[in-house]
Amino acid sequence: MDDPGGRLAALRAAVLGGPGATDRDLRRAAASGAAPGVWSGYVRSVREASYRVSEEDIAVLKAGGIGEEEIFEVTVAAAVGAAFDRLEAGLRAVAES
Amino acid sequence: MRLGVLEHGHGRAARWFQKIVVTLMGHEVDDVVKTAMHRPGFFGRHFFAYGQEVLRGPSFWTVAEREHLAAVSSELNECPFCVRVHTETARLAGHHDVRPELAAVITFITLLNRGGVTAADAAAVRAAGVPVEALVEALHVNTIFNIVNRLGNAFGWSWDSDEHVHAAARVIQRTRYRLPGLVLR
Repeated sequence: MDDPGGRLAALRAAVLGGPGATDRDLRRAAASGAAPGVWSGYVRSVREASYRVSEEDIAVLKAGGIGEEEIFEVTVAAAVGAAFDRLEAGLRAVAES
Repeated sequence: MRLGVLEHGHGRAARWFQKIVVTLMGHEVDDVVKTAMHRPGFFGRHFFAYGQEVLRGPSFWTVAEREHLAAVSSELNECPFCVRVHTETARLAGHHDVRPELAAVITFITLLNRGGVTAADAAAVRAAGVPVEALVEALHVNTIFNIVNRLGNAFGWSWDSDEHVHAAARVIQRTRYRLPGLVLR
């Protein structure tokens, strides 16, 4: 593989640092699992048990005045962050072995 | 899909691409591609660049083994959408038996996705004959699916039918995860 780490870094840079409907701080918080307020439970679900996310969860966010673009961005940030943390955990174990 | 913007929020080239696919194949573009084509500079373009390299670039692991690993990760993350299609892509790529090296990596990935791994776990994989670079490659396959499984579950991705799954798997087999550049601009 040709530099998968570099390609993942480009993905993270776009999702967490690129322009968007949401603040970069919110996306970075979602990536680390520490999103505030109304996002807290949703981001935790996406990171830890995404199979539990329901139609209703999304409806609750929308009913709270959150737009679809914001939900899109925060969901992608949470997914990328959780996946990256798992990769880092694996790489740490490899480095220490 | 649970977000209308992922179903309908596409640029002109992506809209044309979807019409052509429906006309030629009789199936809609799948939900992964629809999601990737929505504001591709934010996610899809970079995600597909990463995915193509990890899943189809040169590797210690065959394409069939990477597709099997994709299905394993998806099962661990309880993403039925991804399990269905990657079980089929692994079959199409000729996946049969799991060689001992892949079995060792599957054990490692299972532990990682279920809670955590230690240096001893990594050492066990290396002792099974897996070079460090190959273990890192497998970790990247797992990373791809740790992203996409979460998106599939959260956004409510679905298949219209078994035939839709098989058609998508055949497209993946043929195109090697390459999409027309215009639809990801």
